[in-house]
Amino acid sequence: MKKALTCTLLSTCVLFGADALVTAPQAGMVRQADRLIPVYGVRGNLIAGQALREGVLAVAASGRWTLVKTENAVSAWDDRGLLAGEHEAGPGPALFGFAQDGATAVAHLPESRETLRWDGTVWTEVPWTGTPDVRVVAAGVGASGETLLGLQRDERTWVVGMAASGARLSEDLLPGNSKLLSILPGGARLRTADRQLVLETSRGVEAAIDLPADVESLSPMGEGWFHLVTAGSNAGLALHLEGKVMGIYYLPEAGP
Amino acid sequence: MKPLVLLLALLAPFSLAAQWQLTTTAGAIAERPAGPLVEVGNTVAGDRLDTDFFVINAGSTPAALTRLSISGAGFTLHQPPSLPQTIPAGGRLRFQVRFAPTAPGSYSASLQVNDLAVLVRGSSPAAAAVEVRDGTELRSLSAGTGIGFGRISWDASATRALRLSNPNAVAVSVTALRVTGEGFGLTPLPVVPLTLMPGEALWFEIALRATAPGSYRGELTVDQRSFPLDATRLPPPFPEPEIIFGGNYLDSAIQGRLTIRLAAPAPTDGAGSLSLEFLPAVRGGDDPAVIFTPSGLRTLAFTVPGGHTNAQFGSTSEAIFQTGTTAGTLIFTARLGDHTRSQTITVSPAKVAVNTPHIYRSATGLELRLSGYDNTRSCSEIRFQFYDRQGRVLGTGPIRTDVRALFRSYFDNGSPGGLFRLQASFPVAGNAAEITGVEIEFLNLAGSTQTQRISF
Repeated sequence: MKKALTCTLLSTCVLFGADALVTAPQAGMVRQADRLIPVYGVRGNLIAGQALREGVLAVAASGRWTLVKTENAVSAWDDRGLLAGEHEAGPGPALFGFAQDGATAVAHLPESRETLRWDGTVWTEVPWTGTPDVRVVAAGVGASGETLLGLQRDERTWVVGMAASGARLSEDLLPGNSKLLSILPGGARLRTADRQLVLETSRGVEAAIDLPADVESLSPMGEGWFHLVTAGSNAGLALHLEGKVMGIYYLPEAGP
Repeated sequence: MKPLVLLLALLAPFSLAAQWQLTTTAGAIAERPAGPLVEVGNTVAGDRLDTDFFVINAGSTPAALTRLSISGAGFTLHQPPSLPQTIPAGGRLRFQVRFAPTAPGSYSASLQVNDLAVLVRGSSPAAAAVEVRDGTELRSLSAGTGIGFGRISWDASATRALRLSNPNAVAVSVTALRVTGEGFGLTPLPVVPLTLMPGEALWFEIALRATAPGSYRGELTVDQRSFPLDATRLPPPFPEPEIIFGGNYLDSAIQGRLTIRLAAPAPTDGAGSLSLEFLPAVRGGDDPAVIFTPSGLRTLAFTVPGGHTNAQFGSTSEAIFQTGTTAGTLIFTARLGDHTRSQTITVSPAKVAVNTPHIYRSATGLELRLSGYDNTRSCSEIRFQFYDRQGRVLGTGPIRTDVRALFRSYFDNGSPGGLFRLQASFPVAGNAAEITGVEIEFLNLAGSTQTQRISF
């Protein structure tokens, strides 16, 4: 490919690299039934690819990492599909959340009440155990890198920030009529209220969008994309979030 | 039966040249040894009676069956086996003797199995003939022959005219004449027992009284003879379906909605299908994203509840579809009953569309990643105009990059429609930190499109 050149008078020169690559755009990774499914496309045009793996209990992806929970392990896979780190874990699904750079992540395993951090190399345990009447409904990484957990007790929900030692750094009570679905990279939250999906930051409600179906859970599926698991559907919905702009799209089901 | 015949019949099993045994189901449900005289029973003229026989090789070595025949009026071998045939030791061969009398009376025939002859006997009592009217013709019915009503319109009456007649020289009586099976009836209802003198006839009709759509099976019984009845009542025609789109879907990358509405309430519960066909207007073939979602398929089944005008796709009245990322025509076809209704959406060739590009600083310069689509699959050039910290244009103009071959290779090798993700690096000589913005312009057959300035 012919390289072009642009230079300033100060001799700052920019070239078009010879390694340009055109591929199919991946919106992310989702779990359909118990399969790990890649989703390709852009807003309003999504395609489900072939299953990459079966026996999957939970999935989240940031574009950089794909986190997978199976019956007895939680693992991190890089964007080339190579296993980067695996940690033995108790049974059941997992809640995942990423940091803003998509490089670090947190996983909470509700059944075994384990909380783990992924730093791009290894999984480490966060020494936190809530009381038995507290249920963890979301996990994430705050703007300062702290572990965030959404805790629910008696119809009330808090988002608690914790240091690597497990020490509590912050505590934020959510409005009573809402259901916390996800903690976004940096600490913003997605919750449902009155059949709407609400984006909320420390400044308050930033945006809201009507939901076409009842959402059971939400997990990061790719850069700017979230997978909404809905009642009675294998495929679910895809939320695209760019700044404060939200769009909800129907996901196609993967073939057999 | 004469005493001698009785005595012979008791010599069981009947042996054929010591090697063979002959058994039959004649006159009984269970198989039993055949004697020198086999009574096959009786059947009326025009009917037939098939009787199973089995020839068994009772010896300890294989033996050849070379002769199997029957001679005598009214009797034939039905689908006789090919001969000669070797029967293994202990093996058996089934064959059937058909008794088909043409007139009342007694009948007998000699059944020959290799060297042995067996007398086969049957009789045909005088009985009424059963005929059905087919148009202007009368067709004789033998026992077991079906009487079909065909496919009957939802609002049409359906009857078949039948005639009982006596072609014999003596009077015949009919003691049982009835129709069974849901939806069928006799009209007028003949009074039995009845007697038909020679040459006499009695007309009656069988009516399909059921009005609900569906298949009906029944049976006409005339004494010991039965005749299957078969009818299908068709549902009322459905009103024509209309495909109604939820908006003007003329662009790529849209998830659209449609409903199917009938011109009038459905007369009954019904089911149909909605298919989606895509005709691309550009080179490169199909677009796998032109589908219904969430099924991911190009055909959906729908139902129409009786009394309603809206089709249901499962639990919802809307079908969601994607227009894909390739210029072309989407053809939607709804099929319901006898109706086929199609509507099209034309997605015109458009300029390249891109999502917000992401620029990353690397050790050697800049990295660009962006996703988008080119529904003409013809992207030929990309222009990058970089800006410095003061917002000044970097260099004398944009970097013009010929990407025709790069994109053609991608689109020609099974790309998912016009979707693409571009990843490119920009080596920087000098102070890369001075570069803080870029505008990107894409050119394809439909024109050029330019992003806003992206700051990084």
